[in-house]
This record gives sequence, structure tokens and C-alpha cells, in this order.
Amino acid sequence: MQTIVDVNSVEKSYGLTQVIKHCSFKIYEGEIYGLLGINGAGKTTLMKMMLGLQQIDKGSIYVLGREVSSNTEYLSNIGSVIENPTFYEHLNAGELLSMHLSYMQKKADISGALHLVGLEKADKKPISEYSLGMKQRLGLARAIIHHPKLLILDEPLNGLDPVAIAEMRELMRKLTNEGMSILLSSHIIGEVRHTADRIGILSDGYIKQEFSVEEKVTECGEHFEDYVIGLMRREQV
Amino acid sequence: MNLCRLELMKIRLSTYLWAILGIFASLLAFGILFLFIFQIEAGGSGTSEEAELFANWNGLLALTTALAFACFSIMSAVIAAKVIISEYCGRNAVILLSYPVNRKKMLGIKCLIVSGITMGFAFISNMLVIGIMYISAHIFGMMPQMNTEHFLFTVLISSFLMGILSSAVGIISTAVGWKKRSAVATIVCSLIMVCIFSNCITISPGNIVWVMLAMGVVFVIIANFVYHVLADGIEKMEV
Repeated sequence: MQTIVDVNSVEKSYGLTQVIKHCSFKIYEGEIYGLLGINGAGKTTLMKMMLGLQQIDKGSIYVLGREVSSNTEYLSNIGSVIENPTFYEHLNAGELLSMHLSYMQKKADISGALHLVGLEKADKKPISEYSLGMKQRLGLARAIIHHPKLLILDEPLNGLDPVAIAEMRELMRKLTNEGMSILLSSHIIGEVRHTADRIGILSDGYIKQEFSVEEKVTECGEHFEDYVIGLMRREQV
Repeated sequence: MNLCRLELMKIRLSTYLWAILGIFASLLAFGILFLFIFQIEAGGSGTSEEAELFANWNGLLALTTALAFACFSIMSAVIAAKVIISEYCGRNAVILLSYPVNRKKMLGIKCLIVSGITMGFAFISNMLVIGIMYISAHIFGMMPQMNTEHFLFTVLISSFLMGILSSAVGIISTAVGWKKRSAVATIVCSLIMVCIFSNCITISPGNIVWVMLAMGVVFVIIANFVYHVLADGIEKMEV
């Protein structure tokens, strides 16, 4: 399998606080990698470093074979939803996606992308009139419309109802079947368990445990969640 | 051109066009008022030193241009606050910096939009206001006439320089707003600059072109320096 993301001994500090310490992991083509960690574990920081939004103090990150640096070309092959997505709210969904495609220098079917996330009927409405769930869906549409090879999702299911969450999981699975790789972060174990192929537990600034969800669920059975919580709790001490 | 179009899509240009129309109407109203002040003072018992400003076209031009400089400088800072400060210091920064576009190039386009809108409309507005004032005064015989060609040349140059000065104030204020991470700081900085430098334009109405040219050179050098400081900051920016 082709390596899409290669994180090598990455370190990052904010002032005197070291948030990421010798963190290493890989994401392969067509898989959903779940990054689990408590609040403040450094999940968002890691994702931002992949997008070049945060400087890397030590180590290196390779995305799609290219080192993350001042060169921004690789970003056209990444889609992302970091924190709560923000928009130019006077625009409508169609205008926003068209603008996004122009920035990415790509062409794609806007109505098709809106249909995928269930927003086809709201494409002429100003985004300021959207609900939180609709904004989350639009954020996802913006992240996938240019057919990226890597999708970075930071707690993407926030604000979605159970039906929308199920639809979103189906969509993620469909995208990985088409060859897209997904990095998904969350602090909710159930959310990652039902979506990811592999999970990395980010604790104390590095990946303490990495496992295949299927294997670990078979091994732990109904105690899977307790096992993961135990891991995270132990690392907090 | 494409980047410029995309940046313009992000702002509601119509809001600023309405603001410009409002500024033009206000400047025109003040200009007409200045003409009437001369009439009232002329009919009075004597003339004060300040009234001298209203008694000839050089004085009127200096007053109107200073007023236009104040208005368009503040408007330039307001546009810069929206186009630059709110974008880089607000929540949109994450998506803005995730695009495969050179950060310096994007800032350059944003500064070009701020300067272009300010310079273009400041120039047109000042030319129109002075032009309407001159024609009105000619029709109603309100002011002593002067050499039209020389006056037109002075208005043309001073309006152009006023546009440059106003857009430079916008860019310089942006640096303060960037440092403080605040759109309000950008506008307050422009207000302070306007209070100080508007008076300089009226210091010597007879030499308005030279005074503004000197100011223009200094302001452009500072704005250029500020742009490079901003560009370096945005290049290394973390969100």
C-alpha cells in the first residue's frame, strides 16, 4: 500500500510547553485513520502541521511524498475541515464551492458535491441562514469537491444528528473505496470505532498505541471502549 | 486577475460603493457650503485670517482636498480592516492559508484591492467635487475666476496625490491592526493619522502640489516598508 502521510519524530512547542514529542505514524492509501486523544492532546496541532498552518519545530512530515514546507502545491491534493468550518456567509453554497475550486485550480461538479452531502435544495440560500449541521455538511462538501487524495477531518461529526452521522460514515467509506485516505480526529471513542480502520492513541504528545479496529474489537469484545479509556487515562497520569 | 476576482467575491463591494457615494455627496455639500461662506464673509464687516482660505480657489482646493483625504483615508482603513485584518486575524485564516496559493502573493492582491479602490474613487470624487464647484461658481459668479488650464492641472495632480496618500494611510494603519490583531485598531490608527496630516495639506494652499508630493513620497516609502513587514509576518504566520 502506498504511504500517503508519513509523520517522522515530529516535535512542537508553544512557549515552554511541548505539545508534540517524537510523534510518528503513517497513513496508507484508502484507509481511515482515527486519531484519538483527550482534549488538548495535540490532535488539531498535528493536523495543522500537515496543512502547513503550524511550523514544525523538529522532525518531518511527508504528505503525498512531498515534505511539508513553504511549498504550497501539495495542498491542492488535500481537503480539510479543521475545527468548526467558517464561510463567507453572504455567499450561497454554489458560489462558495465555485470560489473554492478556483483557489484549488480544479474543476468539479458542484451540484453533485452538494447532492452527496444532502444540500442540493439549499444551494441558492445564503450560508448565513444555514443551521450548524448544514454548515458541517457544507464544510465537508468543500473539503471533498476537488477530489483530494487526503481528507483531514477534525471532529467532523460535531453538531450532526444521528441520521446525518450515519450518512456521513457511509460517505467516508464510499470515498475511501474510491482511493481517498482519511485522517479523522476525535475524543469520542464510539465515533472513531465505527468509522476508522486503524486507530492511533495520541497521548503525552506521541502515538502511544496504534491498532487495527477490527482486530482490537475481536480481542476486547464489549470491553473495547473500556480498554481505550484505560489507555488514555493511564497516559494522563 | 483570477485571484483578484476571488478576493472581490469575498467582500460585498456594493456596501463600499454606497459608502463612496455618501462620501461624494457629503464632500459636494461641504464644497458648496465653502462657496457660500466666501459670499457671507465678503458681505460682512471684515475678513478673518481663516476666511482667506475661502476667498480664492487655491484655499478652496486645499480645504476640499484635505476633507476628501480624511474621508478616503478612513474608508481605506475600513476596507483594509475587512479585506486583510478580519481575514488573517479571524477564523477564516485556517481556510485561507490552506489554499495552494503563495501567501505573499495573496497579501499583495489584497493590498492592491484596498489601494486600487481608494485611489480610483478618491481621484474621481475629488475631480468631480471641485469640477462641480468651479462650474457652479462660474454660472452664479460667486468666486473670482482664474486660469482654467493651470487650475485644472493643479486639481488633477492634487487629486491624484490625495488618492495615493489615502491608500497609503490604509496600508500603514493595517500594520497597526495586524500588530494588535484588531480591525478597530486599524480604523483608530487611520483616524489619528488623518487628524494630524489633514492639517498639513492646508498649511500652504499656494503650494498644495509640492506639499502633497512631499507627503506622498514619505507615505509611499512608509507604506512600502509596512507592506514588507506585513508580508514577512503572514509568511511565517501560524493559525
